[in-house]
Amino acid sequence: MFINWALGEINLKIVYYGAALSGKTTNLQFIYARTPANLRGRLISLKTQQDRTLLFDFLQLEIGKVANLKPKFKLYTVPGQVYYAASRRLILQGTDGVVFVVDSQAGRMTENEESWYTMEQHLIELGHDLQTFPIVVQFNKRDLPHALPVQELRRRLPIDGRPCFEASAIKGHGVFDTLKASMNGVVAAVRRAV
Amino acid sequence: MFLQGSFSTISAAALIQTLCTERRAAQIEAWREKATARICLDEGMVIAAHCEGHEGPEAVFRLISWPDGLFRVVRLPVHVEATMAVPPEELLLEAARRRDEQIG
Ligand SMILES: Nc1nc2c(ncn2[C@@H]2O[C@H](COP(=O)(O)OP(=O)(O)OP(=O)(O)O)[C@@H](O)[C@H]2O)c(=O)[nH]1
Ligand SMILES: [Mg+2]
Repeated sequence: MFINWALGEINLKIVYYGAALSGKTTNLQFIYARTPANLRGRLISLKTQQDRTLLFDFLQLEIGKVANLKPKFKLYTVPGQVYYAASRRLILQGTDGVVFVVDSQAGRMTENEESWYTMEQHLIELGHDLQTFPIVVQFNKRDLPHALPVQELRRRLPIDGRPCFEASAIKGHGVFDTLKASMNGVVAAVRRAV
Repeated sequence: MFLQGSFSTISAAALIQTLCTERRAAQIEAWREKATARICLDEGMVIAAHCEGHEGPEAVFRLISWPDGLFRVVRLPVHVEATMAVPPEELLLEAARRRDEQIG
């Protein structure tokens, strides 16, 4: 969170976290493509060795003011490949909420679990309370034939009562539901704090 | 506008991001031992950078890797020519990526 006193804005940060190739970047690309140009900032794309990570500013006007400040969201993704650990930690710094993108494919459960565990580690290191920190879960790639049943995914990850959404980011299904739930969760947490 | 201090109080990365988030038109002048740096900011972006003989993004990467140093923030001089227009997040993420790829 960054209170921009000069502009009367509150800058809030949401990070899309998850295993490599789970569909984080695809989520952001869809959001960017479907957001009117006057409501969004610049899409930044960084080349990593095999893929790229993305970040952009996103101004959401539908959500009411927080403590009389205009909320402005910045969305980030982390690079999922194992050796970008320091980048992931850096990107998570100062984040107000996380969207955890699960790859629903049967063969990707170990990666999902490992990624969840590192997310928890980073959040704890950054001083967050996992009980109250806004995490929204997205079960992505529901369109694939080898997608595990949602019940099975829920059983394998410590989701507790967190909001969950089924999605097919490549088709755009569930992408905005996930984002809206995350923004609402972040704003609710900020309101509780002030 | 005049602000000065030491990078032991606020990191170069945090200073650049803060000034950019507030969309200040400012110039950061920094020095450490014999090295000097000059970073120009406007409209939330880094618009010019010089550090230890380097220019552009490379100059910013140099500055943020300084272990210490002193800085002064002044109003952006009128004659400054924009040679780049890059949000600070992009430069910092790029720096982080490079560091991981060196280790990895
Ligand atoms: N079938 C299907 N494919 C998807 C879906 N979402 C993403 N993909 C594909 O999965 C691959 C990886 O997607 P990315 O969005 O790049 O994944 P990422 O999580 O950003 O990956 P890293 O940046 O490496 O961590 C791409 O080929 C996407 O087209 C989905 O909902 N269904
Ligand atoms: Mg990606």
